[in-house]
Amino acid sequence: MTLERWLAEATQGLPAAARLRLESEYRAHWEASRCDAEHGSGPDELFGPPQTVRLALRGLYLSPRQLEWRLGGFSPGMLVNLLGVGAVFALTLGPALARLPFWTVLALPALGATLFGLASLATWRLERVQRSFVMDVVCVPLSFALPTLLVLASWPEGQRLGGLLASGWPLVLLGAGVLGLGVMLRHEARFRRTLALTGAACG
Amino acid sequence: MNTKQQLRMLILGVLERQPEHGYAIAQAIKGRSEGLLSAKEGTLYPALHALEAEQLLESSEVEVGGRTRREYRLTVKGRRELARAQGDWQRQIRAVSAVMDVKT
Repeated sequence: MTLERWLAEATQGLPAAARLRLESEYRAHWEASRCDAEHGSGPDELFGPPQTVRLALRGLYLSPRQLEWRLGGFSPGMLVNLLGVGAVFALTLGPALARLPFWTVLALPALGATLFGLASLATWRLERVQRSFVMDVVCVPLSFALPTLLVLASWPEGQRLGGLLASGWPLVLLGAGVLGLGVMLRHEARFRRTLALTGAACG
Repeated sequence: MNTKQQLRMLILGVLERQPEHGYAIAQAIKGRSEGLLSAKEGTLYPALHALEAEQLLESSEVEVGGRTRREYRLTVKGRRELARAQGDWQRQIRAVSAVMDVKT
């Protein structure tokens, strides 16, 4: 395998700025190694399989398409919210309505909408990218926590803890919320790393 | 400690003495460990980039003998992280040595 081929495979799917910097670093490393006559064989011998390096790099930086999507003001948190709110309310609204007064069932989504509105107002002056991050941090846990509270509220007072442990799925919901938050924060770190390298303007 | 964490600690350890470029870091790890530690060198740069993103390292391009190279150096935060990692490592060595009855 030639160095060019190795570089193309290892840096495939990275933004141009990241590719340029990495290619220059790997080239300098390769040349220094040749000068030391340490390696007479190919770059995969020296650097390892390009696929392994590509995986490690993709964990650090977003692809150009993902970067473009994020710069457009979108974020993984938005998707998590959309899916989470839809699925979770569909699951919980029926059983909750059967046990609770209508206004109580409406109170939690209303509280959610109010908090969403307040977060939106508070972040209005931020840049679009920062705004989507703050909104996600507020709304992702909210979209999972509120329906869970709704289900808990629908159970008789003395049976809430026991019911929570026995039925299991509210815990699964909370787990999904925490997982969603983790994915979102990891994606955010990759986004900021990519921005720092590309110097792309965030509007 | 997994291989990735080990590589991070080794990089910080090498850079404690002086700023270095990627190839020199790889050589120092191999040299100082008498060849015992030699990861595939391709994984070095993702680790360096990650450490830089965490502000444990900083880098700049320097010209050496007509060639441009990116040199990495420890930040204050990186020094603190290295001191913490060295402490953890010492404790692990003492614990394992005590169990295996090896004098350190």
